[in-house]
Amino acid sequence: MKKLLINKIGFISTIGFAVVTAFTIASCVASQKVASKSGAQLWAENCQHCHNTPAPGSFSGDQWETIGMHMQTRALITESERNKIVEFLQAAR
Amino acid sequence: MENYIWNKRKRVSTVGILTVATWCLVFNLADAQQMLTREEQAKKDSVTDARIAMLEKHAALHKPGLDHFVVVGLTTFGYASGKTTSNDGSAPLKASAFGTDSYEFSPMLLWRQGKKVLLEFEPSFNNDGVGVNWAAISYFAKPNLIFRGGYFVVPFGMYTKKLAAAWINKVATDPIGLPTAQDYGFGVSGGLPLGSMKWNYDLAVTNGLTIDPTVNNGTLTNVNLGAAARNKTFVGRLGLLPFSNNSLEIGVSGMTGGVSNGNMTYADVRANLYAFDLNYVKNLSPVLINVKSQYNVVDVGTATYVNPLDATKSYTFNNSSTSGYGQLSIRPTESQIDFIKNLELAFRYGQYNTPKNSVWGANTTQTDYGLNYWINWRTVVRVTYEVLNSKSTVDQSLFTSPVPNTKTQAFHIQFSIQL
Repeated sequence: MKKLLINKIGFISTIGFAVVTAFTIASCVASQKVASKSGAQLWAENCQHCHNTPAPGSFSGDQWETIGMHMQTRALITESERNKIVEFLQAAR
Repeated sequence: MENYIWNKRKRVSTVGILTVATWCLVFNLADAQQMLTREEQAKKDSVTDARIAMLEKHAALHKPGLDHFVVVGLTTFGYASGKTTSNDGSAPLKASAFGTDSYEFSPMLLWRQGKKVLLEFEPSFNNDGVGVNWAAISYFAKPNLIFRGGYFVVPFGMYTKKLAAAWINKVATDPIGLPTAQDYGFGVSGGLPLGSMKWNYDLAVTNGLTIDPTVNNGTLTNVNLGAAARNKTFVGRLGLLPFSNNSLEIGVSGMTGGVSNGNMTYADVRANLYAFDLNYVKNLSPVLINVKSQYNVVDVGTATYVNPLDATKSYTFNNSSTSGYGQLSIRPTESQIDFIKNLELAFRYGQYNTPKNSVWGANTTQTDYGLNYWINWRTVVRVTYEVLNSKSTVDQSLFTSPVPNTKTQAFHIQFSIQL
């Protein structure tokens, strides 16, 4: 009986978690304010979250592409943010 | 005469026929030759086309900018001098040396293929020898969905994965009591917008933890690639950045898994770990404020262990540990004087409470005062003064002589650069 109850709670929890996750992911869109941020602004905000903001001349344009991917895996910035930051760093070199 | 004429006509006709036949033959031969030449040319053309197509296909695999190799990583070296005193009346123990964290060369090799695949490999050379910090492959499947496999820092808390590098850290040492590091496994991660907020997820299945078989006292260690490597551990972190300016991130982490790793003594023993972290970085004119914090809980199920004084006896204890730290650093980024602008003051306080009545029970506090000078954005010279106070909570009956309380004071000078 106890096992059945635990299974039932586990099942309801799993369904509940799945529903919440699905709703959360479905609502994952950036507001206009966030979506309109420039690469320079995102560079200033996101990089200094962990370390000093890097100088654009520190790496070549192609290297920034690779480092952008590396930073996306570490800092878990969105792909849109990564692309804007990399474009800014390449342009500002 | 008539016969002569007939013969002549016959000869003329024969010559004519032969002439026409010869011309026909010549024309046919020429035509055949021409056809042959055309066929050969066509054949040659098709071979050339195929070759060109193959070369183009080959060249497409090496488009400029699509596969790249970059070396980053870090190097750190420094000097530490410390003194440990205890309340058992023994003479102070002094030591001056390069510490483990103070002598390190860890180049990180990044290689990407196109925009979908990234390989990260970070060997590490330090006082302990040669090791590997990171060896993983990531596949960028969707805009905010990354699959990862290999050997990597497990997604538990914020410090170990994001802040531990010496050129990022604000003081010369790590906070005490961090429960996890690297492990083998695979995972999925990504960052997603959420209106004006942002959130991220980082989940993994790893070979996980086991009760250390070498000391058999309840401490946890990584299975790594152990012979059995059973009881996979599920670990993950969810982060939320509630403000649109990305200034604040709060995170919650969890980790769970069996710890027996094939040892039937601990068949039903599980470890459950939790962590909460906070990261706040804000320009509050004229200074840059930086606040970091993490709190960890480690709960390991009840088990019995071999008495170190008498192997025929056993003992047990509540195997629960807590640790945490808070750190504040301030940098006058808007100063008109470059020297002042490059300075950063740091303070960190940490606490680590290991299980009472175990052979490793202690309540330890860690206090750090640091001053950093940033030569540029990725190069720092720092001094740190650290005090560690440890009050023993062991079961004294498990020892032949009392375990004293200790106090360690250490002074660190450190130079670190991102390669």
